[in-house]
Amino acid sequence: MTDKKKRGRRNLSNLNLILAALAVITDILMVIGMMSLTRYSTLSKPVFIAINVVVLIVLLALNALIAYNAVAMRKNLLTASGVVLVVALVLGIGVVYVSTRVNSNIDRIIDTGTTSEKVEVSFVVYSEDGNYAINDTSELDGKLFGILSDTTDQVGYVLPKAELENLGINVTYKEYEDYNSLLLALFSGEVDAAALPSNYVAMFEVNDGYEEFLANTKSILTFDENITVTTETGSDKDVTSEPFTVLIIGTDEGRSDALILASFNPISMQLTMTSIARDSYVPIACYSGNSSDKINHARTRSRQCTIDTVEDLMDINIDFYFESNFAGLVDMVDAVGGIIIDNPYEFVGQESDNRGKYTVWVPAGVNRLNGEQALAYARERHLYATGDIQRQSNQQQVIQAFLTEAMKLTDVNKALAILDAAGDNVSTNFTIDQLISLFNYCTQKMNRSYVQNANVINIVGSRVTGYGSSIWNESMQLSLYIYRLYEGSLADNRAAIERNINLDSEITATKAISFSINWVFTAPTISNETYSEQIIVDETPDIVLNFTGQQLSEVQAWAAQRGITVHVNKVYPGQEGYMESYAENTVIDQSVRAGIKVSNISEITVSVITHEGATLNCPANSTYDAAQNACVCNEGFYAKNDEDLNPGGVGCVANPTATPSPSPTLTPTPSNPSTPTPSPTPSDPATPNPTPSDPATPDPTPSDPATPDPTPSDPATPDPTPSEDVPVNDPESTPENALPENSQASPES
Amino acid sequence: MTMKEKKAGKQIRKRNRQVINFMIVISAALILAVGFNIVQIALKDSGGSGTVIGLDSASSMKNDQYTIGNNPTQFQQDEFKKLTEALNADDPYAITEGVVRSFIADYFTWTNKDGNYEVGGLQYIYGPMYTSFQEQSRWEFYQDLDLYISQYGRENLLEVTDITTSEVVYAGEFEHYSGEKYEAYYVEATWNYKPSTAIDVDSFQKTGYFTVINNDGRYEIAQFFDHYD
Repeated sequence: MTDKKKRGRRNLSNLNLILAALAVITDILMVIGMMSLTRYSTLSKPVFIAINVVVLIVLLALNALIAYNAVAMRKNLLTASGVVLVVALVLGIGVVYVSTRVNSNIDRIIDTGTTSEKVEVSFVVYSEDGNYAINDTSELDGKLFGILSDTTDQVGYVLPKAELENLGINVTYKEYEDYNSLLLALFSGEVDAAALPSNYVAMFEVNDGYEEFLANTKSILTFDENITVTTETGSDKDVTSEPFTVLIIGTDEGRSDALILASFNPISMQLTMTSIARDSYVPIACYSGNSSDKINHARTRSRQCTIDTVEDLMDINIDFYFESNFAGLVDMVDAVGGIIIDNPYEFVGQESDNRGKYTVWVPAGVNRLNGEQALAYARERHLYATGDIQRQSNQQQVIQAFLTEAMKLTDVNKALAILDAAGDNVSTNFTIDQLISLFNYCTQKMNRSYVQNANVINIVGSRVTGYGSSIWNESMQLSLYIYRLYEGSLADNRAAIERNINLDSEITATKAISFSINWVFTAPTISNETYSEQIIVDETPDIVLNFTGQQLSEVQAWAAQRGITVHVNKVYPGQEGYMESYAENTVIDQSVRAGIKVSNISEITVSVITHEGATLNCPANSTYDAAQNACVCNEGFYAKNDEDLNPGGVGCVANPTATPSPSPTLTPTPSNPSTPTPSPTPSDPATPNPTPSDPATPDPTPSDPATPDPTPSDPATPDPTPSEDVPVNDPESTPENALPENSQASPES
Repeated sequence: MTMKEKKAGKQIRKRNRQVINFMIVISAALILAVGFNIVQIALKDSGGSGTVIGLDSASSMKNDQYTIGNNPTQFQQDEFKKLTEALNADDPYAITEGVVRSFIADYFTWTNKDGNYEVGGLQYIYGPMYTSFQEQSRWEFYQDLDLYISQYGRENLLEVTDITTSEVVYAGEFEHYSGEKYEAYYVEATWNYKPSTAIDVDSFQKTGYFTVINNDGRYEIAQFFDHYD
């Protein structure tokens, strides 16, 4: 044997050793990958077993090849083995990567009872004039410090106490039932400082009248801590044979702004979805004595508090919960490639991560909406006369559209993208096996249909109806909008859910049917819009309104009725606050804030826009007309086009006939013409002023769905029985907010 | 061959033997691990005992216009064959009778229905309105099918076993509210159910007064009533 040959054998032997090491790594990676994917094997046991067997055979063949190489020592064989091994190794790494990614997201989504959450606490102080008495934690010594009364609440009680102890600061604690009471105590000076969640501003700015107070708060300390959050584990029900209930919670800044109690019957495939208005004023389960508050505030305490509150309210046991924040909805809708929504009105909604910035255009008609558009659609209420009622319906529509897209999912990449989106934003206490078996079950049902991707789930939407009201806070001179629920509506919704989940229910269905293509069938509604029951009238005093955007004459009429003197501060061109595009005498500011009791004031000063003295930089041969707030041609001149009168335009030219003609006027252009702003969008998105609903407008919902009459009606004589007068349900549409129609102007001073 | 060369050759052979032994051990471990995983998958609780009636593709039938496939009963299959014969004969009276009989055999049979969502006979209903009829059925005749299934068992529910039809008569033009007019045929039908010890099958609808229209060559039910006014 020559030296060259010997070296060659030695090199081949060394190479084979390296391949053997690679083979071992590949084996290990593949086994780890397959084992970690086994938790999803109920998707299809035969497929998973087949994959395991195939992978085992391939890996054993590779191992045998390496062993054979040790005997044969053939260069070609070694090279081929090397190539196959590298491919297998890459595959192994891929399997481990995917399984780790999937498992990591699933572990974050599935709540097994206790989860670790990072929370932030702020020590907050308040000053009406900006001169804070306390600017640092060291100045808290000896002060009155507001915390929650719930000794188990980490953010509101445990952590702030511990922090103050650590800092060696002695304070006198004053305890409150909930964050809202605590915040109001801070505003009214009952306490010098308060412990609040760090996002307290976003959490409470949706409450009417709070914005101004919140702007005068300051956080003197913010700290974070990882805490253990406990939520009841989900039911162990077999979700493919036993009906179950799910509370769907949509959160925004810690509040549960969307609450839908769903129930699913796996035999009828009927899914009921009952929306509960976020402002519903109900007993909160985790408040001592179950005192009442807006239901969306329960989530600021804990998820379990929300679940318990809804359970108590509806008297229904909740088996599971599913929670998503707004970012989760955006990402998940994007991950499925958008959802199909039939939107009646075009509008511009606000961005998910930029509150108050209205740039999300949602087109009218049937369109595939992306995540931001879907969220804007689910949040929009100002556009509709029925406000939050329509919003609740839209939220159900978004869920239905998402389910439809999700059930069609066959693309692995899309599935992984959904999991990525859900991982950070979604939480549920379904087990993975329950979710997989439910998915398999629904897929099997769909496969029974002749129609591909048929929607076999029969979704029945409903909502707990009620009426708008307000609670007056005397110390703060604040009126808090609330929504009181009808007991009858609670009972009707409860009955519908009970029927859906109780397979021992009494059989009541009709045993015969008639049909005509000249009938239009309208499914009965679960809840009436109104009920004949005692209405709770909350005593709310006559309060000062928000006059921003209204005309001076309207303010004067309102004031005259109440004997209040109106002082007018005119804002001229060039002065701070002047808006060229506003009409003459538009109110831009008021000296007495909205919400103050009228009996406490005798005069009010409003700042109004005036265009007196404005020149508007009118182009040639034109001058500014304050009355029209536009440039007009000088006598003997005319403008060929309206645009010629815009500042910078060519201006007016001499009229050859010398016969004066009506001059076109200039309509001031919006300050930002590139941003589309449809008319229904409130002019000031930060303080939207929705149109009050018209109680006289008949509601097409049948008035008595409690005794549904499913007999199809003749389309020639549609029967949208108008309901009784519907109480105003919109937060800003309380009777006090409506301006009097035939009022007299008060003397302007 | 020098001693050094011999020693080197011996080392290579020894290393190669070690590689072979090592690969055998690794392969054994691999078999154990994957075998364990396969057993784990096989024993894993599938997580759901909810039943979905399996599709019996052997009993599926189709003709130029209609298809039956969701586990049709023998009676349904027989009626479908008659409908196919009528279509082949291109006799509007026979087709009308066949459509009505096939509809009754499917719609009023529950023993092969998976749940409330699976409304039978929809393909025989006027096309543009079948989803409306489906929804109406879910709220009326099929509303409590889940309760019937869970309380009495699917096998004890309605199953049409025979149908008697009157002579089909031409009914002139039937006008849809959209203004569309169709040639219409009228037929009355009575039917019976398989006896059940669990439910009173005779308390369910057993009569129907049907109007079938010729919708561009396809015969579809435009209306039916459970009583005659």
